[in-house]
Amino acid sequence: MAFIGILDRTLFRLVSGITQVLIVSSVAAGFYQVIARFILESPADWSEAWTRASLIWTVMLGISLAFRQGAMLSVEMLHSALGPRGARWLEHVILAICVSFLGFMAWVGAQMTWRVRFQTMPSLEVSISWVYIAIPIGTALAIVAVLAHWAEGPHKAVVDETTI
Amino acid sequence: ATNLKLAYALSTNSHYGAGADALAKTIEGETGGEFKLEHFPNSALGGEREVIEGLQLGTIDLAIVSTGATLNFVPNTGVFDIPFLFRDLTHARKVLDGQIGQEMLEAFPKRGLVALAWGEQGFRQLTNNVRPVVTPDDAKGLKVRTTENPIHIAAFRELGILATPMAWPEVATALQQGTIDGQENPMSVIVSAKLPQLQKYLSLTAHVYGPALVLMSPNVYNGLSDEDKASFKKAGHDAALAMRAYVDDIEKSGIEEVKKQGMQVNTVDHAAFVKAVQPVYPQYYKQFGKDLVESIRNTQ
Amino acid sequence: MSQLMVVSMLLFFVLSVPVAVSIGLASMVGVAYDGQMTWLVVAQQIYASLDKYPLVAVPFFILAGNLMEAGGISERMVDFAKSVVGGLQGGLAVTCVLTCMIFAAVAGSSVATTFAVGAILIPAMVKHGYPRPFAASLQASAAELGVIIPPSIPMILFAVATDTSVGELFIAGIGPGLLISGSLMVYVWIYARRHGFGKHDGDGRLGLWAALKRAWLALLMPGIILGGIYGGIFTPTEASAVAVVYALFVGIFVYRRLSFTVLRKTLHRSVVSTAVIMFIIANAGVFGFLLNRAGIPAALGEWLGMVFSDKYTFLLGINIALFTIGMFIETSASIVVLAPLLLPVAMQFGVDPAHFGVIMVVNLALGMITPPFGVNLFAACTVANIPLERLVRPLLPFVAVVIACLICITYVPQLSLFFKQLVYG
Ligand code: NA
Ligand code: NA
Repeated sequence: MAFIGILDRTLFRLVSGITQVLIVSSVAAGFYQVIARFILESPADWSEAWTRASLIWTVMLGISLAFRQGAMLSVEMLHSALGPRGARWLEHVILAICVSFLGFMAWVGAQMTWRVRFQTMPSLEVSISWVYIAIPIGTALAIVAVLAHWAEGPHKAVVDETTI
Repeated sequence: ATNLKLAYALSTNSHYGAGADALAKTIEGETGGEFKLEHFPNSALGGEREVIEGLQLGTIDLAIVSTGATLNFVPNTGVFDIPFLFRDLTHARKVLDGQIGQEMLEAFPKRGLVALAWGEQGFRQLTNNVRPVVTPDDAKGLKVRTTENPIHIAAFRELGILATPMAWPEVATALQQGTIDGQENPMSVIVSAKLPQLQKYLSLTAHVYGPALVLMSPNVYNGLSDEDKASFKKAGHDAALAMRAYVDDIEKSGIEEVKKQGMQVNTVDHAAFVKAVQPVYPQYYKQFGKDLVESIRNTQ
Repeated sequence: MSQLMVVSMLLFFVLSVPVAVSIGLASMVGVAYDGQMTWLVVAQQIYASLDKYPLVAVPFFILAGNLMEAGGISERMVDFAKSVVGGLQGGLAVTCVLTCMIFAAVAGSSVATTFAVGAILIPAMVKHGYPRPFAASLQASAAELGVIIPPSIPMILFAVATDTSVGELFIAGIGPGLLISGSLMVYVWIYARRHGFGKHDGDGRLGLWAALKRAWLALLMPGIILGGIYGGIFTPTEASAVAVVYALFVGIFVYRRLSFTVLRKTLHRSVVSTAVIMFIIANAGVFGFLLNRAGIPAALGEWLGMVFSDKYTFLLGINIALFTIGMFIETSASIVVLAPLLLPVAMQFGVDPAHFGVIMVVNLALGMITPPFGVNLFAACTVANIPLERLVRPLLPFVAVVIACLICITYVPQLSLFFKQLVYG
């Protein structure tokens, strides 16, 4: 059990580290784009493509972190209206729904990754599969995250920290 | 009757719209109303890249797209995007209707697409707010918004233009605030996007010929009878003719229109531009093969 | 098909399934109903909806907001606002609105505003004797300005979804933003006088000059962001990257509050918020594609055109519909799905696209403070540490104030278009 706990922490710490690097790199590319055009007078043609690609990766990996800490936004009315036993039952149902959904996404995402392998990304000159693959990898990790969160036992309705 | 979904990036009132109308008319007429087209203009079903993917998946049935998007699926179609490759519209049409163009259409099924015909957007022209561009020297140092097309960008760089890829929704604001000096597009877009309100100078650089493609999803096409297949091919052909007619008209009327709206229009030293981009050609030879590029150039 | 999709989405909402998953599942119901379509469309459209450059402003503004809070920029903005209006009776409450205004001119998000300003001002208001539920409702309501005063993420989403100009929409938000700020300030000032709160709000505040000297780098930020956009240095999207870099620079080197550990925590928090919102947007993209493909926008447009005979009743109908939707559905998801459906109809009735964008954004911002589902409320409750139901009563007058402003904004287009015409002619 302790081993699984360590694995769980290591895995999501690693994912968090990668996403932090990705988001910093996309900010850097976005800022460089301004500098390149306005100050260096030699606009970059790769920066937009890089920013978009790293953002897709950030989002797809980031959802596993959000699921892991139960930060996914949901309408909690029913959950908080139920008693502890009912709430836990509802959590089982939600778990089943989320795992099925993410499993489906991983499956169709993998198929799309394979199908688009001949498509190149302009400006970056690599196959678009390198970005598409973020969908199956991210959703597969999210399944692990949902299970890990559920295995921790009943949760109080989390008030989210979502920013918009 | 079967409803087919047709997607394109511009409004119904554009060269794409004209092509789409002709396409619909011929298909309905030729198949006795068995197939009807539902139009999705203005990128209602997504950008061109996504639309082509949709054709592959079968979620979209027909589309009119530019080679800027197809070159990521069938790389060789990018050859027509080489700047200053064609002398004039007649030259371009001759190449597309000839062996070179037709063989390229046959490369699409290998990528899960059916190409019905070559359409046309017309030559791309340069607009800006700084000065009239007559010689390559005038173009130097202008910040020009381009599409994310590496073939165009290479030539712009050679000319000393600061090529800035930018998403289209941001362009109007960027031109207005001076974030960029200019942009380049076919006449039809320059008129319909109200660029005369944002830009002072139109220079008729005709730097890139813009072909268009009438594409179809193999999901639908492969299930058709031979007779219906022929009808769709004919419809593609009619769409191409309609686009060409639209371009012929807008190349003249569009210039009148933007002049009326106060834009200053000038012709350019074409030979000087052709010479100025020569140093990029070895790169294009490497990408597409010297034989192909030269045989396009030498088509009379 | 569309009814089935909407009903199944609401059903999953009620089951407390995450919003993003609910929307994705509803899309799958649509694919299943179609019968002919490949399931791959779900993955394809997830990718397509995320692959849009102007969308990068969403994570960048989230990150900028979090860095400003962690780096001490927000705190100095509060101190400055307090030195300006803190002397009034109820000055702290007015300070809250003013700080949100300043913060809103940098950040494009309301919840970022709630966290960044509320973390400092809610405890301060409670300490000065304001009821905790009042402080939280005020904070939630004033933070709405985050999306109404430019720059604004929902406005960017609107512009991306409808292919309209982000810059013009931003400018159109200034008038309505000032109106709502002014109204909220007047309301809280009257409230404080009538109930005898905030008699000592001004105690311990810095003098104007001292506050200005301490906060000038923080106050420069809105100027840099808006000046850079309208001075042609960067686009509204790029402005978000500039905001992050500025917040980082000031937080690390000047205020020296962003240690490596704090930075990592802030980055992690921002990634999680980004993923939550963007995954909703991605799934809403699939949903929207299916609706578009089924020709719903055209049909809805025809229907709205038939039901409403003129501009005024049409706008009234839209406001009622959006208010109702805003009660239950997350803002960015609603904008992404609804804007492309409604704008063409509005334009048929002769409504200016920028004006319509503002109406939609104000409406949906109102949705952030209406129970049961309001992200600002969740955020304010977290900061104030009180349960949601205690917020409902003090919230009602705030909602009423914003509704009154919304009616003015809807029927006095000059409020939105005056500044736009000033800049764009
Ligand atoms: Na804002
Ligand atoms: Na709400």
